[in-house]
Amino acid sequence: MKGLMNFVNSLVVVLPSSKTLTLSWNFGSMLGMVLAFQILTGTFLAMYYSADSLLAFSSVQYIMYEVNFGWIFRIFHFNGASLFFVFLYLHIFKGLFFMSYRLKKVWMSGLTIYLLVMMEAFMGYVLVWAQMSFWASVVITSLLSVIPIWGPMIVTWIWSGFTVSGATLKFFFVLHFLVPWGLLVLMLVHLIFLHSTGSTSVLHCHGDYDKVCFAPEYWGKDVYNILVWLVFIVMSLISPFVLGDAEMFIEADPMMSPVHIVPEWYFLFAYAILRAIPNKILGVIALLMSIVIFYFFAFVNNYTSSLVKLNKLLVFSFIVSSVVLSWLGQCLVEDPFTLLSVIFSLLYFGLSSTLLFVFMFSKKLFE
Amino acid sequence: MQRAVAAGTKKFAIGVGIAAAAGAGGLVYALEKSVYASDHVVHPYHLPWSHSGKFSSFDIASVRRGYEVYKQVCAACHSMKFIHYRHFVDTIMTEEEAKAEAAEATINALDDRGQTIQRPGILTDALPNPYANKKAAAAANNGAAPPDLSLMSLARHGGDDYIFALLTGYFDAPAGVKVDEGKAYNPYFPGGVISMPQQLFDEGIEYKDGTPATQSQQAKDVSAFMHWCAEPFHDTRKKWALKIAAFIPFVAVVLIYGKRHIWTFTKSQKFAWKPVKGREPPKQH
Ligand code: HEC
Repeated sequence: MKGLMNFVNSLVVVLPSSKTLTLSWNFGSMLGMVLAFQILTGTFLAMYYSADSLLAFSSVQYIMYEVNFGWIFRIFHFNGASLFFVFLYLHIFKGLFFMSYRLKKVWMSGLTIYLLVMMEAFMGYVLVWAQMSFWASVVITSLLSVIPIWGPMIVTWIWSGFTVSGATLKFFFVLHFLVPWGLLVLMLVHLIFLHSTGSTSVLHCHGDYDKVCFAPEYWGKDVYNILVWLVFIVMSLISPFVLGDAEMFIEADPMMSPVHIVPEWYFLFAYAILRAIPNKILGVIALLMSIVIFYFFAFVNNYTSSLVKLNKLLVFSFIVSSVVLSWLGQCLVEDPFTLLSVIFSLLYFGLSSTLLFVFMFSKKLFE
Repeated sequence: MQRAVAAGTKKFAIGVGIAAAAGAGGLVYALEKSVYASDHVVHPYHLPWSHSGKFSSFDIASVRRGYEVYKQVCAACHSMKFIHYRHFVDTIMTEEEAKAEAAEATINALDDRGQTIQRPGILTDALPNPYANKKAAAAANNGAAPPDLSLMSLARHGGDDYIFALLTGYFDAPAGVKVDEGKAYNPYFPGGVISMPQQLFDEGIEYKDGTPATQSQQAKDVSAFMHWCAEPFHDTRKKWALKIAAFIPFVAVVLIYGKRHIWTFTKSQKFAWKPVKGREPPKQH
């Protein structure tokens, strides 16, 4: 018990913290709160949900129409997924901006959290068992078939049959329920790695001189997150369904696919990259690389020099091209969008690898 | 000199950044606004629904009339499986009214001996389905089963605007468009040919409250009713949104004041490097 108290104490009370952490350092604590929020609302939803292909869609509507205030939990839970990604992206961009990947273990565990959250969000989306979610699961699971040798077997195993079916739904439900607990552990690991050195800061120096205790200073600052929560709540009450697709209100029909399959907004950039490449295997590799490329930043070994302004310009251009790529992800597969998708996918990879190489190059420059 | 270069780079970087963002934004905007010949559908126009504002609520009188339209016209073909008569109580009807509506419906049920019977509805019944199953529904409608309407206003792009446009958008087919027996031409429907013939006509029904039942009046009312069915919690959620939004400025003041109070000491620190006698830095020559 005493050990636990000491642990908590060292994490969020006496932790020596840099004084120069700006609001951009709130994103991390916000993400922790979002995870807790998703686990709470999700547990509530799991009490009424049926992971059976015949009942899934109606059980979701049962939550909306019959369960007392069930609608509010569901609205919060599915908009909470968007909130998760908003802050994940902000958090990652902040990391790129301030070169936080110098903390290698923190960076790598963070990227792993990011990948797991993507999986988690995708599986949660499938659980609604509506037209778009069903067909999204068909598209995404069949991507796994490009894995050499084992691919087709893995796909059949995940499907538990020869197509996405009720058995697949059960598989996804169990995983969707379990992964968050893994995420919780991983988030703690992420935090422990972070606290072994302390946060990076806008001054790009994080020696152990002149620090303040985490409490009360950063408690006072992290409670600003409450404002974000209130705005989130108001927005999801005013327009709960704007981020979703109309096809999410039509029960899954395995015999008839929607005319236009689009993922949720947070996957659009990856979807655009996938579609930009006509070859399936290369497309899947590019899709994977769009995230895996960030792991390479951990190999940067440059603590002495950095071209800060160039880095910021590149990160900014990278954000702009990711946004355009996301927009392209929901466009029809026709010219000029196909061409633009190729151009912006190249930009996406070009900019992220330039970011990487500039860093290595600047070391040469200053040594 | 170095400063000037640094400042110059910064200005340049900001300039390039803004130009890139503006260029990308302009491209997206231009492409979003362009029209494609391949869009084989007319997009619905925007209508000023009484409930479309951020904090505005349903026109319940219209929703009630919409129910009359649904009951007398649409219910012949469309089910509303998620709506039960009890949902109407104290939302769009009084309990007596809802009971009376339920009692008017015929519900298929089993009696004590397991025989199928038909009985008048009660509050806990769902609105009755006009067809025994989807196949029967499709067979009775030239092969296209009428979809369930409970979630319809959220299940189509364009929502209420689309439904209104669809219900009032029947025209003679232009030359070159082939319309089979039992189908109709409707430019708002994707593909242009729909298996639901025109349903609403001026004075097709008579409203209890005496409102003239023009075609557009009925279309408006039934769209409002369908939206109410898709989210009966609509008014509640907007009311809560308003309450919480009103609360935000106060919370903001407290949090910002609290944070600045906690940080005053740290923020007002000043560093000074004072030479200590005997430990002065080396003199420059
Ligand atoms: C004669 C039976 C019949 C009646 C009465 C009827 N409908 Fe339909 N409705 C259909 C059929 C059949 C379809 C499927 C059309 C298709 O897919 O081509 C349909 C489809 C629809 C659609 C979906 C269109 C889409 O985008 O897929 C809506 C909305 C709709 N009806 C609303 C109504 C409303 C409101 C009423 C009452 C005013 C009504 N219907 C009355 C038969 C009917």
